[in-house]
Amino acid sequence: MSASWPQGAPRTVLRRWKRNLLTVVAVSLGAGSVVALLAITQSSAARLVERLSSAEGSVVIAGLPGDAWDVPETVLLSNLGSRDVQSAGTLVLPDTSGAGADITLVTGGDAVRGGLVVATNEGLETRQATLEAGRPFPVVGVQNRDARYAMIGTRLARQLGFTLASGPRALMVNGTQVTVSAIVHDGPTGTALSTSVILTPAAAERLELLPPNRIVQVRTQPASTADAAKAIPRLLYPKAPEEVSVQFPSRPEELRRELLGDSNDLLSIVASIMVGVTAFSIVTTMQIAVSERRREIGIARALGMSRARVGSEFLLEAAFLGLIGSGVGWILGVLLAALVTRLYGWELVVPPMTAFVPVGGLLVGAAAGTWPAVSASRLDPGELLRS
Amino acid sequence: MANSIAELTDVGRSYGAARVLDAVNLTLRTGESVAIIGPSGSGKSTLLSILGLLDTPSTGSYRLNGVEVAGAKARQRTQLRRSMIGFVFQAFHLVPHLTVRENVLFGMYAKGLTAVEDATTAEAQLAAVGLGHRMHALPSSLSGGEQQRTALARALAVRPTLLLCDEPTGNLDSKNSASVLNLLMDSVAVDRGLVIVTHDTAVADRCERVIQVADGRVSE
Repeated sequence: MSASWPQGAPRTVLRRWKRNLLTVVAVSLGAGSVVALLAITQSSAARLVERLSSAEGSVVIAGLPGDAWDVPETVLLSNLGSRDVQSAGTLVLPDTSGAGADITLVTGGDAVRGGLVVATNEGLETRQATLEAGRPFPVVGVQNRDARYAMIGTRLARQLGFTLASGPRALMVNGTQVTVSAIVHDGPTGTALSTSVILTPAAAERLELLPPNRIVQVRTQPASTADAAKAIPRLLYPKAPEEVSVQFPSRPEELRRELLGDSNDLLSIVASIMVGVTAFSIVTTMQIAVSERRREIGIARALGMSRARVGSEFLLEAAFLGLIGSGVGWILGVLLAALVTRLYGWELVVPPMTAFVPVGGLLVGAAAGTWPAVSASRLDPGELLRS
Repeated sequence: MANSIAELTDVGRSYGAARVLDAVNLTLRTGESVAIIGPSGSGKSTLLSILGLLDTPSTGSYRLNGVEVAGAKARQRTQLRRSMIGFVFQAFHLVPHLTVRENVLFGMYAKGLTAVEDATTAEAQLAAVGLGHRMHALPSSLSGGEQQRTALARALAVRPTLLLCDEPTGNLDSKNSASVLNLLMDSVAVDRGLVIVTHDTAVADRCERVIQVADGRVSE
């Protein structure tokens, strides 16, 4: 209690700045972390929504029964011609087929385990995969059941040392030779193709690697994804639409809400921990202050200061510590968020609710100061002065 | 005519089995200075603590300004201490990180006096004890005599009815002792009483009454 009793808690805190500095730093770090996390989350979510919104379409994934492999691609997709559908084609990824294959060069060498993708040219186009070298599957490769055509992902090709520039344009897949038409770079949404060998449905059947279900990916206009998804089973497989399963992504706004909801749950937990640490720091500091200033408290009490007044002084000091710490923390948090968003090229979004962080710090400080304040007010002046 | 400020009747104080004060009868009046002397452990400081409402008697009656306070609750004792009693301690008990002026204001703040003119009162009191030129100094830069004069200014600034001093010259050299003692004697007024607990017979000789405490009992 210092000087400052006559002048107020802020001056007391400032006069004892060496003692209080670490507490202010701890509170600042706690508050700053929360502010920075909130701002960075909001900024990245804004960027994500921007990217989702700018995407050319949204992909609906339709799972067809195994019988559907008998239907030619052109027939299968013939009913999908509408302005809502941008592209569509068969594409079964390793994560859905669960398949893999041992790949070796025809000239020998160690086998490399790669993912197994079964796709058509249309499916690859729908995924927005690009050819690093070579050509799409020839029409004969799709229609002729004796043809064994494949493509290979860029990363797997590098791993094997395979190129189309020299040497045989063929690979061994599970010991069977296939003709490689292209080296494929995966689309913007994944990397699965890069580490896989991509077989036509005919080649997969020939190698007895045909997945049990046929997956057709349909890229639609974002605004009509949900409506298109409802119609797709009937359009793709009119024979038994009820056997077709459909998955499609949330709308960008819904996705944003979901993402922010998830991150806010996480942030709430982090913020709770930060508040706990901050409060503990203030309690510790104020309890030390009470111990150090026992004689001062004794003098004040001997001179007639009431318990309530002694307690309120410590309460105000704790609240002021919380206010200063969280105020500084808010500034640090915004600066950190600005730095991170600048590094990633995102637009900085500082949630307006973070403006209440200093007020929250003040309240947490006051709450944390209650116990030390009460203990200070209960000290016996006679005993303190005698000691 | 002198009024009775404090009146102890058959006051006793025990701590567990130890009887520190026993059947103390004592009356203090305004306008008089009283020295309490006695050997260490005789009960002098306990008697002062009871007079200053920092302690409560185990038995007997204590009337302060006509009000029975022996069984008073802590809140009432605090209020009475605030309104009537001033302390000067042997160890000065100044707040180390407050300036001389702030220490005096601290005493006034503790009393609940916070008006703007209090600063003027504090400065005038400091000037009266000869510290007008050291108002912005910290206690650590003061001599013992200056520190005790600061403590005295703090006590007097709130105009107490009863000024209680515990060995006020115990930590001072002879020159500073004389200076502080003069100030204490000057503080005695028609509306104020002074009680000094001391080992120093020279201090006791300056007081109008000398009360001896031995084995928890008092005699004049």
